[in-house]
Amino acid sequence: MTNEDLLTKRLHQLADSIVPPPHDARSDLQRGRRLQRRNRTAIAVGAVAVVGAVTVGAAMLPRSGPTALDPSNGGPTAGGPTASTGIRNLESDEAPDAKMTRGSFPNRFGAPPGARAALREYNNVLAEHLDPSRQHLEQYDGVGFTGGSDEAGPNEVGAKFSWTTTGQNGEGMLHVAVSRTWVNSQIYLAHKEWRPLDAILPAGWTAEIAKYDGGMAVVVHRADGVHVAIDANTLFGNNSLTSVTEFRFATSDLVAAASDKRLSFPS
Amino acid sequence: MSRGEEFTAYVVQRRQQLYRAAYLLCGDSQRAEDIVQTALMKLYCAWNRARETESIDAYVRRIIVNSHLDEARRPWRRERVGRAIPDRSTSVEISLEDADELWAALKALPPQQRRIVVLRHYWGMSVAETAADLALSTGTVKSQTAAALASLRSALASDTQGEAL
Repeated sequence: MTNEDLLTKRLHQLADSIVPPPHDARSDLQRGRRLQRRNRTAIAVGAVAVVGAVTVGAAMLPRSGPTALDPSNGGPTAGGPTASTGIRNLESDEAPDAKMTRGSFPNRFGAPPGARAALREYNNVLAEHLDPSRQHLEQYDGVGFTGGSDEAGPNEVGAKFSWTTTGQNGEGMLHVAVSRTWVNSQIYLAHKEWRPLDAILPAGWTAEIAKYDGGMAVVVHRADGVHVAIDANTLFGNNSLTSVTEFRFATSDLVAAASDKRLSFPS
Repeated sequence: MSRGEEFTAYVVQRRQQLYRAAYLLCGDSQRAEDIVQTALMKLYCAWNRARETESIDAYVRRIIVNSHLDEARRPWRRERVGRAIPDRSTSVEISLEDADELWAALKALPPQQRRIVVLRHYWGMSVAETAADLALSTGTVKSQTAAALASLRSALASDTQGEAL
């Protein structure tokens, strides 16, 4: 008998010696039905929220159009910073005024130079740390986010990458954002409870984490004033109603990715 | 047969084996029960999809292994090597003393090696199937299996009574 055969035999003997606790299959059925109800409720609430947001957005659209920004039309004057975020097809880095492929908020300052190359690098770095076998994370498809203010210009670059598993219908998301102003970052604004996170980081760097139902986000604040945030959400709400079962990486992996110096603001 | 009836029939037939597999992975009765309950909840929600796959067992097995993966990575639930052994039936061929030794050796394995051992030697999966389930290369599975066997050698040798190692 070989080592492997012997191990198989002994493992089955060991398993057979384990006495499972008494159970009632109806309890498993009830738990399954409860989870299914919760999932359906969450989907319904999410759908209502999306419809509401779209309705409100559509109602406000005329007032946020370009003409409203013209002081001669009674729009706001340059009395204070006006932060804005937008979604832009960064394949058109060199032509900031090219049409946007997604999103409803005009982005007045365009993508910073090198944004497309930076986002491709972000995608590769995320894969290296979180999906080395490249089985889950989608390749960079040319779409990204920029954010900033009228005064400072673009100060955030990021993208949402789909995360899927072969044979499953769910779709999760990795959202990465590199910004110079953390309080205006999309990932900061998306979560309420940010807490300090103990992590081994270079001197002068700190990290925070926000956990929520369905995922977690981490940010690494670097000594040079750049903030790198990664949000791992089991549901890519823009694209799917079904979550992925889970992510196969840990908080420390997210921090390691966010600490990677290749995630830098495009210059 | 309704979805609920099909699911219940599956649970009645397979729950004990799922619990044993979860126990072999995590070495703790409460956590094994948690993992199985979670896996079965997810299975119910995905029942129609799981039924269309080649094997419902394979579908549940992936949920269980992934749950163990997550558990092992949570710092507040890191596994510690212990001597605790599970409640056992008395009508099995393995002696308590031998089970103690094998159990301790199994629990001392790194989580990934233990997952590979359980998938390959309890669930009877091939190297390629194990590699696909764990998103590893076949070479990694082979080397990790060899390392696990080396670690388990003394525990296995204790009751071989002449069986070749």
